[in-house]
Amino acid sequence: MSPHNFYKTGRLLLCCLLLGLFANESFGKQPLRICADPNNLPFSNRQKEGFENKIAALFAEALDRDLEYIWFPQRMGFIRNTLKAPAENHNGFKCDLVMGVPAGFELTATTRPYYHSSYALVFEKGQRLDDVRSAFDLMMLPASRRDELRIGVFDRTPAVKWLLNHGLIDQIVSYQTMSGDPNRYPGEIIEKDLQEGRLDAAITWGPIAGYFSQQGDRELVMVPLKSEAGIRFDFKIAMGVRYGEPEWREQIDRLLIEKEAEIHEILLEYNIPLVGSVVRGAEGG
Amino acid sequence: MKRSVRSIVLAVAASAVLVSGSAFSNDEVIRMSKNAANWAMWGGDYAGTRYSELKEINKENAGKLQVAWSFSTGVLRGHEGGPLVIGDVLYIHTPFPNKVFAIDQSDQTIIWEYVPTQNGEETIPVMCCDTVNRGLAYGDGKIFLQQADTNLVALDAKTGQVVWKVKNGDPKKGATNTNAPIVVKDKVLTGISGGEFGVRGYITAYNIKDGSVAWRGYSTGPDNEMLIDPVKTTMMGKPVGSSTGINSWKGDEWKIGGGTTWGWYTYDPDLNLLYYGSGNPGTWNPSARPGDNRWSMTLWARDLDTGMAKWIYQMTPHDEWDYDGVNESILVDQEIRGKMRKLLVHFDRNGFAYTMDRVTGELLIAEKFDPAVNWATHVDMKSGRPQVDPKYSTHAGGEDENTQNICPAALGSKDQQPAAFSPKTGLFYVPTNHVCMDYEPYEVEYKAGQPYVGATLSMFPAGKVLKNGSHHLGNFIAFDATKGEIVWSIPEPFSVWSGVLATAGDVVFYGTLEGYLKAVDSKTGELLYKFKTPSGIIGNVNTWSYNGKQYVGVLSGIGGWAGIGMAAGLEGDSEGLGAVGAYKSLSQHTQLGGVLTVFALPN
Repeated sequence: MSPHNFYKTGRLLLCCLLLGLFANESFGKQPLRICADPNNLPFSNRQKEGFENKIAALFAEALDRDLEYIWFPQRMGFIRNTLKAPAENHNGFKCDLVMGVPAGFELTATTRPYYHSSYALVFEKGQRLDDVRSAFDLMMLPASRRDELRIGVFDRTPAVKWLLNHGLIDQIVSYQTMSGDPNRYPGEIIEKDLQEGRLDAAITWGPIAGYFSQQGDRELVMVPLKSEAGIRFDFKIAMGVRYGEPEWREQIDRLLIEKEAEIHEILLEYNIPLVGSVVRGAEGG
Repeated sequence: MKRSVRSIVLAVAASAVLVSGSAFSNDEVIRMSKNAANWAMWGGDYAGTRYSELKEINKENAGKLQVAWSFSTGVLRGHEGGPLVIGDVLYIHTPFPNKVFAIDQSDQTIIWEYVPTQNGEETIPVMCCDTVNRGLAYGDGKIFLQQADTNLVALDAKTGQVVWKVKNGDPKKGATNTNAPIVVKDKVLTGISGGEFGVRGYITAYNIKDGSVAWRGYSTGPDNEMLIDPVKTTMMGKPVGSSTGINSWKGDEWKIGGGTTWGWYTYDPDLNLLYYGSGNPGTWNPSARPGDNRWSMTLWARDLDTGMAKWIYQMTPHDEWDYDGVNESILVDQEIRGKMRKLLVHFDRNGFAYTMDRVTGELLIAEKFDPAVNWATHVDMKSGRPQVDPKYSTHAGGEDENTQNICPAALGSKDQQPAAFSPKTGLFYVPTNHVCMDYEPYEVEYKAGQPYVGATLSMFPAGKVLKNGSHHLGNFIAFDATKGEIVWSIPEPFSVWSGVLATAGDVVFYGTLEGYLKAVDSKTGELLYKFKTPSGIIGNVNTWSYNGKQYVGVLSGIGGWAGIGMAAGLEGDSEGLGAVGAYKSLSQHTQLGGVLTVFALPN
């Protein structure tokens, strides 16, 4: 084993020992440290108004630990600057839990999924798209109506490919998936550009579509999109922890099961479109 | 209060003028670069040859080289670029936080140190490939530092005091800087990084006295913003026509069109032309940006005074592989087919070496400088277009197709690390990558709260594709640009990621990722000397003399794209834009840490 690996293993062992202590109720004072974006509603923000903030508060209460946030824009380098970054003021890492990552995410170990959503189309009620109830309806609009549409999409999302596949390339208004500005967040595409009439429609990830379609002056409609051959619109979302910390992951898994009903409530409160039955939740499933 | 500060600044600037005492600061820079005792700019000279007339160290005695002194920068992360030497003083820079040290060569003490205050939270998240910086420029009694946060800073070379500072871009829009600026005439020129964030690339000439903008030329957009004349600016000898930076894009895509300019800049004083390359187009999904995406991936020749483009040449229209066209253009005069020509030679990320007439932009030769290159079969010499092999198009089969064995990988057959040219041998010495990739669009990614299926780039030795059983990731090659041929090639276990130095002593120097400084015979490539520096080398090897004695210096400090796995603590194979996997075993050879090591012959 190279010295490098040896060092890393040593650090890993140390942190697992510490986590073992956390798990012990008698050592209750270490805060629950969450890695989060300070400005990305409906997920999280510094004012703790996001649904991930609410779930984190639920967890902290259940664990009887204080809640502490490490804020960093959720961009390139987020995981390595937060979850995987050694802390400066204590033994361990800057934070120990990311409240949302896709199931099977490569950069972290993932817990069981706790919601399953899909991309969604959002547009203003009473305007050009009132008869659209599905992706298929949009595709089948007469050319004269389709050709005038301006549809805002983020450049790396499946929405781009979907529009390309269906001959809607000229309708694409492209946005960068990651803004370099930590003050910008994807929801602004709906909150501002759609609300202010610069777009006829926008396609975003479900939680963003759900939350922002209920904000603002204009009445908006949300149509969740179904995955089709070669285009995946739906994703299951889990929580992220470091690799090599199975006890901590299992503890979060247990919390996710214990708090399923409350979590489901929170997701509904934020109008997040849910697919299938990952969250059996309040209906008594 | 503000006014008094300003008048101090002006006073300092005025005194600097007196010091330099010439009409144009580049008269001074040219004079300094002609004196081989100095290493006055990144390329040694404006032509970017990285060749020195010094020959105290020669192929007979290079084996006796020793470490004369060394200096720790105190900074981790990747150390690119190299020292400047102006008279008695050596200037060295670091990656973020971009410190600058002025070191007295007589006793290696620090004369002054400049430590900028930069907003790391704003800047670090938008830097794609480690927080490198490629070095300093000198002119007009000032040292110029292009900080990561886009501030271009003029420091008094004697005191390190800030003379002026100007913001060159907006990190909030993803703009950052990694390049070394260059001083020409009364201007200092600098580019911009941030193609991953859709930054629309530009190069800017600032007036050296006060940092005011002389001109700015964009890579995409309206002609008047690109400083392109539809009639007078040519490509392949023909006028480019109007609005090419708009009508080669769909809709407004040019506004986030990329074409950033983070490489090296060279200059021909006789032609008064500035040369550089622009990077990849902005929008990630090539299918969403149909068209040639002009003028991303392009070589540019601009009038230094006005910024107007004289000629341009697009190497990789409609990029699908991330083959940024930013590598250096080296200016040499050589005979081609019996005729002396003013040449521009450019070893591109895409694996082709371009030999062009730098006066007219005529394409003379375009040949592969790594036999593994397969994304295009050849460059059509009439149109200048690469003939793309659809087998290796990442999108021809739809982006959910797994495309295998594409050569080169996204980091290119050669990245930014500059080559060297020796007029004695007529050969170019080129640090290369011998790496191919699979493009696998299956990995679920998550950015700014949105999940999507992204592409995993798996990189591996080109020997897997060539099926010759080799495992090395790099070659150090000698190349004849008048014929487009490799003359000799030294396999290296890892990519050669350091800038090269050629000397009149018939010795060529380069560094390796394991940390070796190597000296080889410029004719044969025979290894004359090697020394293991404290960390992997991604810096440039420079040379100078002090008190009549020749020194060779190089920064070690692993990092950059190839070393990002180590520098940034990445572990997943596809992290760091796919570079981690192939370079994993580097950690058996070296660790992080910036050190300048200076070599000389024994007294």
